[in-house]
Amino acid sequence: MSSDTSLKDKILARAGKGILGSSRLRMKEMEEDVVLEIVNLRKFFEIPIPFETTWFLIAFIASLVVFAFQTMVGLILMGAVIVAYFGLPYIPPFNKRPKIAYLKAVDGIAIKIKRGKIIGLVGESGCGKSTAAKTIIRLLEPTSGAVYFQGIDINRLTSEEMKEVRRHMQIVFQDPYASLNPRATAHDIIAEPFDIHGIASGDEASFRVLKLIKDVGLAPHHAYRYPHEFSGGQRQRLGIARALALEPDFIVMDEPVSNLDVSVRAAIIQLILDLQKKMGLTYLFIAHDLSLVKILCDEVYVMYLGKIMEAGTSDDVFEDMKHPYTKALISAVPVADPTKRSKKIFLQGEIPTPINPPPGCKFQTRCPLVSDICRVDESPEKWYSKTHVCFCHNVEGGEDSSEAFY
Amino acid sequence: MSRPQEDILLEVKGLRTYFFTEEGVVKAIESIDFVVYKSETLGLVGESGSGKSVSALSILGIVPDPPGKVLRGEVVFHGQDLRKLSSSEMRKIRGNQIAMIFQDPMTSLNPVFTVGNQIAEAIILHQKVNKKEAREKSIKIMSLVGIPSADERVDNYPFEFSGGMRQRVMIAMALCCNPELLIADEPTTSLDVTIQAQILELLKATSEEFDMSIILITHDMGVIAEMCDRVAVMYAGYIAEVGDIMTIFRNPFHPYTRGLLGAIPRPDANREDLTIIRGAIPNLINPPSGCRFHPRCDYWMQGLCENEVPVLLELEPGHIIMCHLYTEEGKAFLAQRKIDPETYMKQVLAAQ
Ligand SMILES: Nc1ncnc2c1ncn2[C@@H]1O[C@H](COP(=O)(O)OP(=O)(O)OP(=O)(O)O)[C@@H](O)[C@H]1O
Ligand SMILES: Nc1ncnc2c1ncn2[C@@H]1O[C@H](COP(=O)(O)OP(=O)(O)O)[C@@H](O)[C@H]1O
Ligand code: SF4
Ligand code: SF4
Ligand SMILES: [Mg+2]
Ligand SMILES: [Mg+2]
Repeated sequence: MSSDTSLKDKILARAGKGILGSSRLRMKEMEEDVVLEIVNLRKFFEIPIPFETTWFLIAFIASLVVFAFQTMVGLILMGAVIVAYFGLPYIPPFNKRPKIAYLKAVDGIAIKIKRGKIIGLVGESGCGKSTAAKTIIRLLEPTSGAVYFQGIDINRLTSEEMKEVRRHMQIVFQDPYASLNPRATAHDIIAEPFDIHGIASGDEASFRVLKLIKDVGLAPHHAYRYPHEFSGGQRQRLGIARALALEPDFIVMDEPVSNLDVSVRAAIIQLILDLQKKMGLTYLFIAHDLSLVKILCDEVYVMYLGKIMEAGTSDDVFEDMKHPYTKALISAVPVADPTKRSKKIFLQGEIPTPINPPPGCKFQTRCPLVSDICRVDESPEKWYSKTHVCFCHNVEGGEDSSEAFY
Repeated sequence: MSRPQEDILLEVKGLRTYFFTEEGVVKAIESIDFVVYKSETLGLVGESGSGKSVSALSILGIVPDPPGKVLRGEVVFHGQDLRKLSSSEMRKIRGNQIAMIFQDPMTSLNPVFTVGNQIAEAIILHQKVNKKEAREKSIKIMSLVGIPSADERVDNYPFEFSGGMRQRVMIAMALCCNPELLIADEPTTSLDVTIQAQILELLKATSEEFDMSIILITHDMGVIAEMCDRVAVMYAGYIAEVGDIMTIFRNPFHPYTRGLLGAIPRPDANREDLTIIRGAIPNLINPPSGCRFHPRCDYWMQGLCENEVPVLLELEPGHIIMCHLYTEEGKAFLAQRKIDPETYMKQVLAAQ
């Protein structure tokens, strides 16, 4: 693990050699203990809008009928119908329907991650957690916003410079099966990053692979097995071993235990904690098992439809939650104690699509506290302590800035 | 807590189901015994592969054959052994008196028929009504299970429904004949917690309204704690422990039940409290001998547990357990080594 300055220096040295030199880079002064800062990050997907096939067919058949009586007019009509539906570029008066819509998977999130902490990111499925994770480590290019890793805006780096950063940030996926090459042995899967980064080869690489295999609680004889010869829990260990190969300081865990049985789940959690202690790792931990997030994470961000609704320490969010969405989400979690059967808050309906969301607060369609202003203005940032922020028009109290608590 | 004999709705006795596959005989269920009382919710919990779904299929007589076969045991429902019924008699019971919902509703809904058609068909199959009445009934039952604007959605196809809505449709189909017993196999496992809470609430409300018993299969101890009156814990083809909900959560006797509860985040627990169960569920072609849990058990009494399958014991009324820590053999085994059972258990706990 290299210190801040060496990563910055290395990248500056590499950047200096390029045509544009280091002026292309963007830096940000960050607090001492902050590893990663995400500023107003957005990721939109462009999705084609399906043609209104029914109307197209009706119009087309109508022009066919005309064609039977009036050949010329019919042909012109037919052409017009086809052009109107497939061809024309976006010309407002003729063709009001744009063919592309934006799916706002991540719509402006800000997260600060401190060294050695476990940060939780929670929310219903489809709210944008995985997209955020991939954008943060630049597996996807953001639509706007920035990710500063050790003070460097990583989206401005060339792929060569990015390689340097990749060694420090890794990701572990939910489905270990889909993310591991089925035709490579465990050994080769873990050794691959050594190869890519030219760090070790031959015996040196094998030695390191075996050490990693041991670190994640697999046995040496597992090294020459293929992914399908492992159980789900073992495959997840393999995924973690590969992520650890380059000794990163920051790992994104995208639902690393969601597909695993309770007993295996506990073992992987223990592994994650052990590694944190031993290597001082920092995690962004994505999960929908909230009772797990509660005991595992130092800080928690609650996400809904691409936006952060509330954030704070685990205690802030689980013991003193302010946002109506957080309240509903947490009350829905089944509690493993029959004496604590609680009254639930039931949310109306389901999470809407992130395509063309209405203006104002994203939670307005399901919120029990919704009022007129929520349908017009974005919900304001309000602070309830140094660490606790909530975005809502109608929650009482709060300060406009965390400064108020210093 | 145990209820009188006449309150028993379903009794499963010594049921055994194997799968005869090319790799060998999968001994999925070796022997299971439990009862379901009238209008109660019984939880069936255990790791994946422990045999929960196969138990459900065996009770209903719908184990895929080949390769599966129910080899022995009784399924006594209203005093008659369902295994002795002809397949047409059994078909009448399924759907009329016992209904089932599956984990993945998409696989059990037919994608080419409208949802309304499928519910109506289920109604016509079991009740003497015409098409029009069946359709009206479908709409009524759809709104009963909380599908908004049911009179429009009745003509939608399954793919036009979200996961949570599809699960509601499955529940509607299961309910349309007023079953006395509903077997729900992981009905909320693939859903978000918010939707899960809605579906569980729906199950709770309908079971009260229709006075229906539920066998709720899940691997989520939280869901069990919220929903069930009693719990049966399954491991590798056996029932390890049965008891009422408070006993299982407060005072579990079986090492496996303790392990399961230690592995989940309980309220008020912290990181350090999580414990793990070593190893994994065994391959059931060559399952471990004796107590199938012994390779993973901290209390394993070497020389006994791997040699003999423990008998089922009813330690307190309604609290049934299968483990040598409580059998005569186990006590004799420890006595021979001059160890007091209580001390033994404490020693093992301390060593952890
Ligand atoms: N490549 C893509 N193209 C178009 N839409 C996408 C793409 N990837 C994700 N989305 C959409 O973005 C939204 C957020 O997806 P994402 O996978 O981040 O959700 P998630 O919260 O991680 O859900 P889950 O828990 O189900 O994995 C969803 O509506 C999803 O359908
Ligand atoms: N059709 C089948 N063919 C062969 N083995 C099967 C079949 N169905 C289930 N099994 C085996 O039976 C055991 C129990 O399975 P199941 O009841 O589905 O577990 P659970 O529902 O507890 O996850 C497993 O070992 C599984 O592989
Ligand atoms: S801003 Fe309005 S709609 Fe949004 S969460 Fe607050 S009260 Fe609800
Ligand atoms: S019988 Fe023996 S091995 Fe099995 S659970 Fe009891 S103590 Fe453990
Ligand atoms: Mg995801
Ligand atoms: Mg199952």
